Amino acid sequence: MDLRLVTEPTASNLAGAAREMELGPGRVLAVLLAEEDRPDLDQVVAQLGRLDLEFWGAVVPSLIYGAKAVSRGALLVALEAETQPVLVRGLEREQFPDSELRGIEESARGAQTAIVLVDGLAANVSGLLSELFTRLGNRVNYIGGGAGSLSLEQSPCVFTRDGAFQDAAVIAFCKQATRLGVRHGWSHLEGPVVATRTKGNTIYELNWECAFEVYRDAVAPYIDLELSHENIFQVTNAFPFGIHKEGDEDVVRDPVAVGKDGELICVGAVPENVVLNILRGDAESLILAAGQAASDCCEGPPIRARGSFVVDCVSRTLFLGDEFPRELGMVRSRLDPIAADEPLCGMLSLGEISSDGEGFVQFLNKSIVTAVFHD
Amino acid sequence: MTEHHELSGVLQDLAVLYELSLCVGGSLELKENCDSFLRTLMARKNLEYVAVWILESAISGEAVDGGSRYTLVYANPGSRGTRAALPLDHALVERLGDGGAYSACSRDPDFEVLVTEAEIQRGAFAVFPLGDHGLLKLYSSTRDQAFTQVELSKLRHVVEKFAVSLAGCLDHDRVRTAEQRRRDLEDQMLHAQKLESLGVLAGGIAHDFNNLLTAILGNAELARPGLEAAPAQEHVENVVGAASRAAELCSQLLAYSGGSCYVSGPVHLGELVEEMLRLTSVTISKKASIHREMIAELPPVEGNATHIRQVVMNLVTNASEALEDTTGDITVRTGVTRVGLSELTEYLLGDQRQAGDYVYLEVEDSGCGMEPGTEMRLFEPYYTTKFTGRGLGLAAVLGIVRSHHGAIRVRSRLGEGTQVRVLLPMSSKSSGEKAVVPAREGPTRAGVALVVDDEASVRKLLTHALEREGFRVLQAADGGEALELFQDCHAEIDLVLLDLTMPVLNGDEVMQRMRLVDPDVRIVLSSGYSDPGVESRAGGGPTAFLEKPFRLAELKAVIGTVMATGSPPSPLLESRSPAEGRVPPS
Repeated sequence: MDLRLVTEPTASNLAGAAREMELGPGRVLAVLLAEEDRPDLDQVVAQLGRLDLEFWGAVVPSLIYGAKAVSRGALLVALEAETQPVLVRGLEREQFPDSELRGIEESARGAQTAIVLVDGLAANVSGLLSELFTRLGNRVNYIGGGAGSLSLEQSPCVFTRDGAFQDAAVIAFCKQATRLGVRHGWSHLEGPVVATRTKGNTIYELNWECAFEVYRDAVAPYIDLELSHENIFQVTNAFPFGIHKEGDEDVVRDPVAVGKDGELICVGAVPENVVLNILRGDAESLILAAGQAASDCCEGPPIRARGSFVVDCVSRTLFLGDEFPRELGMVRSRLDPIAADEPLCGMLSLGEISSDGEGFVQFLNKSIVTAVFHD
Repeated sequence: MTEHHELSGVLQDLAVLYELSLCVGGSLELKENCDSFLRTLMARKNLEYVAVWILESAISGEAVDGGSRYTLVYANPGSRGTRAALPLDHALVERLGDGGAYSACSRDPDFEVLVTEAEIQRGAFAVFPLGDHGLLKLYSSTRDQAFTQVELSKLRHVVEKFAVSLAGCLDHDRVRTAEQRRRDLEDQMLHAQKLESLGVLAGGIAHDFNNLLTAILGNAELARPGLEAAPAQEHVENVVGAASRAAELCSQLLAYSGGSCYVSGPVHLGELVEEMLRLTSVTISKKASIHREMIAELPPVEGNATHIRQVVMNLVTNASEALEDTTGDITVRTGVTRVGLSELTEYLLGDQRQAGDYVYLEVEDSGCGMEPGTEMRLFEPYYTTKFTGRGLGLAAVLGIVRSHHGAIRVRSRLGEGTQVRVLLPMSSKSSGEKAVVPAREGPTRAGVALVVDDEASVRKLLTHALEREGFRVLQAADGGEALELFQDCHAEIDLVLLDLTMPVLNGDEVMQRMRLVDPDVRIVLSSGYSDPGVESRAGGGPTAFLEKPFRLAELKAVIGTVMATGSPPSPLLESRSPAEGRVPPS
């Protein structure tokens, strides 16, 4: 996999680096920009737009390069793709406009992997993924994640030759196959609680009462501080919600903020009437889970790896703190049997996307997705 | 298993069932209801595929000819299902008869026969009955064992609830479809009424114009002999030319109004189509490939051959023009079809027809097709999408179909082509087309002629023309005056030229009363707007019919033939146009 790390990510430096890469027909340039000191997206689009190449990209909280988190810079990856990246808009709407995916089947023809970057703070990422799965099913593996800023302030964060967009997604269809592993390492602590009133990614009521109050009472025995609107992220980062998935780990929902009426705002949709559990984890369980995700990629007959890619939830870095390099180191070492020569790269995300092999594609939180591209 | 695990397992099951049960019946729209329930089921039960099959008879609410079958109404992902229908004896269905839900995994010997999707070689299915009207199929690729009976039982009640909600969706859909059908029918009736009103208007205008054109043409022709080599001759010729073109337009308008079918009888559609395809072969696009799919032994239809020729020509010409200078196909089909009342609703004029057997003519092209909505306006006079068109071709076709007690249907898709199907009733007469005696230049002889027409200019013209032929002419301006004259002078009168459409006492009534006085009187009925049933009046029809506007040569020919053949009233003589053997219908 042809990839470059640009440490001074000005628009002109990005264009210069792109010129040096092999980006002829059948290749598409993926550009991941770390949010710190990132260049103006319109300038990036303008500079890259002058080159004779197809490109797409996103702003993400941080990059992963060489098994380390990189908070400043840009990662440029040349992907083997026969069709142009697809821009999908309208993710703010409650009913996802399925007309946005018109012609997606044609774009996916001949591809084995769909790389999906979405505005991680858009309300209806799940609607997009449901519709995508309805149309493409398991013809492709899905990997990707949520773009945006760790400040949780929404702004245009995905881009193509057409410009930079908010409440949007960009999807590239890659010719190469992938092996995927998805894990998180969180386990049940409290519950169940019923999300009795929700809309998109906002939980208004739990057990028919104010969501914040129910959550506060549920976690109170496990924390040493009084939960408030100000410190909620500090607590929820350690006690997320889990949605049951039979035969698998729960799908995690991360409440990242609380609204003025006590509503909990999550990354990713929470269906109304879903039954939630409150989860807990520790550094060991998370790092072991990350290692297991990498090991899952190594299962099966021998393959010739062409690259590896990791989408790791940014909240895991916050939770793990100084232990976070251990997580990436574990992934690196577990991938060695099949991808020792491939540099580990990827992104820290606001929500993760994976079909877990053949499975139903879902928007996940607080999870790590590992992918090994191969022929 | 510890007590704690048992409890948490039960709680987990309850949690999933609670959520699923609240997802059921959230919408009366079948797809939304399926989405709500089945997407949740997929997410919680870690499934990769779900499908819902419903009995055709449950969808339509009617018994289905030849037995029902299951139709795939929902699949997620939609791209995975490879079959759209299942027969009742398919293994998926038959196993349900053994006692409700069942499961099979790839290790089971009968797994393969249950696969109706692409790329499934492993995993397990669970199949549930949906009441007595369908089945639900679930698939997981990660299982190497079938779903256990306990797992199936856990889902049984919520799936039953889902089945009831689906029945509600199907009922709702049927009610909505019936309501939509009623609205469509109402729209169609309103449209037909609008076209009929336009037809009456067009017919009336054509009638009045034909009277005027008769006078213009006739007078111009009367003026000709005195103008040889005079400067005015060219202008008079221009008058004749322009009036002739106006007559053609009136002819189309009258065809649209359905008031121009004077002579009808059994017509062999197949022969007529072949004849027209030969004739039009020089005018249609050279890039068009003509295909014939025609039944050899086609029963005759009741109609007027000239008008049906016009239908064929207009449809084939339209099809050719739809190809727009590109290579394409035109397929002409004829045959007999049994049409039910529900199918008739798809046809314009279908609401006025009876269910039964019809002869059909169908012309299909692979041309440009039409925007949705254009079909509704196609038959309006002067509506055209062509730069050079007048918008009367299909209007005339509709009028002819109406006057033939037929119906017409247009199906079109933009960029894909258009299909027009015309239904015509079969003739109850067994013989070939009714003989039409060709008019010839007959010998004329002096005699007494009675000219009856409420239009003074026409009366005057006819008087001049007949006098030039050696007749002594009596004139009447209405039916009453004509009858008085006829009572007094019928022994002397050799010929009556009678206008059909007159106020108070119309030509038809006048003719009947004249025949009571003298059954053998020669009557040439003329009109620019006629009743199609004129020939079948009790007491006999006219000796000949002369359509307005007519040329003097045609008048002379008809009179010659009538005077030569003598006795009335059958066979009916028709006037002929110089171009195609007929005066344009008027």
